This record gives sequence, structure tokens and C-alpha cells, in this order.
Amino acid sequence: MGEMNFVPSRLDALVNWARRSSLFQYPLVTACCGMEYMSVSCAHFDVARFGAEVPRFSPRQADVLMIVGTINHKQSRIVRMVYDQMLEPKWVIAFGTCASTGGMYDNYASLPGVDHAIPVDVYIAGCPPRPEAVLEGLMALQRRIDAMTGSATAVVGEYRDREE
Amino acid sequence: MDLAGLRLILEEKHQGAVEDAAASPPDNDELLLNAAFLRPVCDTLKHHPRLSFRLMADLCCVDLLAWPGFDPATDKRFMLVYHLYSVAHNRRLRLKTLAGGDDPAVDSVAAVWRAADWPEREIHEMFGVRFNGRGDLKPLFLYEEFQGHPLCKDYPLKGQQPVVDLRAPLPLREDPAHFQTAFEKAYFRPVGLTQIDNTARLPESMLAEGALARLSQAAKAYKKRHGIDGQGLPGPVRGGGDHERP
Repeated sequence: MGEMNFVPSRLDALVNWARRSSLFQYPLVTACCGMEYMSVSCAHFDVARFGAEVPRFSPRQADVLMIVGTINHKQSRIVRMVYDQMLEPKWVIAFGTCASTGGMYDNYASLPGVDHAIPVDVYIAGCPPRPEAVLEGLMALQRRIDAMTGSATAVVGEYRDREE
Repeated sequence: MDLAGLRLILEEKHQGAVEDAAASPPDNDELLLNAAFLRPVCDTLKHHPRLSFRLMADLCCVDLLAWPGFDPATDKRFMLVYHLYSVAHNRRLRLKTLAGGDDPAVDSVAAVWRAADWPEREIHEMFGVRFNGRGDLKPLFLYEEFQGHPLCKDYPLKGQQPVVDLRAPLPLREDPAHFQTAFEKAYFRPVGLTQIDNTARLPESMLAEGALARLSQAAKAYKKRHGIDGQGLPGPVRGGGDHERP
């Protein structure tokens, strides 16, 4: 493929475009932020405009893990299990203050931010966040995916392996 | 039936059970029971036709350790409060009893009111009060590995016991240059890391004479009883068979 370096580099953009335009989400809803999640995903704010309208309740089919609400230590195990089951490439959105930092819960039970258990790509502030903030967070994630490099080589590499 | 009548019925059947009584109008009476009589008195309260407290609305527990009125000599630091309601007579009753000592325990009333089952499990895990005469006191809200009882006054306020290996938290960005847009510059201030005192408690002025000394003494005894050494609590519980990435 030495002489065709330009192909993967252009393909990166194509693969990134495909990935960011059909983000299947896994909503892990534990608390009141779920109300805002509902309004974001339904017709009023309509997350479908950003290609992320399909919730998948199997982590194996999801691209984005949305942590919607407080995560406590008892639950951290479950969060980790869900995250580990997701296929690469995968992203995580911390939806709301509790998921981002633990919020007002600073005690024996709560995790001070879900990033103590799993890596997080986008933090959405708010208690709960306005739907507009959620959409902004989603677009921030899309910008992040757009900036990814090496997406195409991963895909092409897979094909090459398969042919051999 | 008023409080006096209720007291009369109870004292007839269970001599010495009622230690104190108070009426709080219009319909919420209060009894302080000798813990030894708890189970038979509850039976009477539920099944006596003139009482018939068929509904147990709630069961909760109070740790009196830091309470100004607490008498350390009695060593009864847990107060259990049963909230009862008689549908037939439209009366409410607050039943109180005390538990304490090295192994605080009272009789279970889960066989009288099934509604007491889960609250008893909750109180057992949160305060460490045992309930005799029932099976299965396994944790309701906490996980099996949790050590100690988090709602006790001598449990460290932020004594977290993680079950997964925690990642290091991200450093806070203190540099104002981090803020890019005009909105961020206008509305966000750089945040510094503040050291939070894990041992912070009620201000001394709110406590009774000698309460702080009692607290630290109790905390020492508590840590000794549960095998917790040093300042902190046990670290992450490992080897739970999960999340060990290859």
C-alpha cells in the first residue's frame, strides 16, 4: 500500500464521517437526568438530527456510553462491565453534574465522577443539563471523532488481514 | 382510644413494658418501650381489637451518640422508632425503643408486620443493629464487601470503599488561559484544589459537654471492633473476579 498513502488519509475523513453520523448510544440512566435524556431523544429536541437517535440496550451494539445520573460505588462495577463489553471504537459521555464530578453527593456511597471508573470523552455540565447543552455535548463528541486519525488504516488493515 | 386507655391495655398484658408515654395531639401518641417486651407488645398492638395497629408505616433508627441528651452511662446509643397506624381507629402511634452495647440487638417484628422486613435489613447495614428471630439480614443497599456501618456518627463522613480499581482523577485546570470563549471567561473562574477535611463534624458548640471526646473514643472502639486500623478505611476490594483487564 506504500504508493497509496493518500488513500487512507482521505479515507480517514470518510470513516470518521460515517462514525460520527450514526452514533448508537447506550443510555445508562440512573437518576433524574433521565428526564432530560427523554426530552433530548424525543421529538422536541430530536437527537436524530445528529444521527444519534438509536438507543441500543446492548453494549455490544453501542458506540457511545451515556452515563446519565449519579454512579455510586455499588454501581461502578456494572458501569465497568458495560464499558468493557462495548466494542472499539467507543466513547463515553458524562451526562450532568453527578456523572461528571459526583455533584452534591460527597459521601461514603457515591463515585466522585464516573471518570474514576472509566475514561470519559465529553462532560456535560448542568443539574440536569438543558437539552441544548446535551446537543452541544454531542456535537463536541462529533468534532472529536472528526479529528481522529488512523481510523481508515484500522479498517483497511482489517481487510488486508482477512485476505491473507 | 386515647393514650391513657392504650397504656392501660398494654400494662395489663405486659407488666413493665411501657417506660414512658407522651401524647402529641391530635392523633400521634408516643411510647417508649422496654426493648425486652418489643415483640409481644407489637403482637398486642396489632391484634388487640381495640388497638388493631395493622399498618407499619415506617421503621427507622437514630444514632444518639452526638445528641446532647445522650447519657453515655446507659450505653444505649441506638433508638429504633416504629411508626404505626390503626386504620380501624384512625390513630397513629410512635413506638420507641433503645438498643446499645457492644452488640446492639432488638427482637425482629418482621413476623408481625412484613413491612418491617426491608427496613430491618437497612438498619442492620446502616447502623449495625441486629434483629433477633429472623433470617437473612443481608445488605439491602450496600454491597457485600462494605465494612462498617455508614450512618453511625462515628463512621468517617467520606469513608468511601471502592469496589473497582479507581483511575486517577484528572487534574483540575487552574490556568485561566484554559478558558477560551468570551462566555467561559465571563462566567467561569479557575478552580483550585481544596483539601477537604474528612474528619469534619458538627461544630463543638452544638454538642453536649464531652461529646467530642465520646465520639473519638467511640470511633476508636468502632475501628477496633471492625478491624479498621489507622486513619483511612480499607482500600479497594480486590479479587472480586471482575474487570481485571488482560
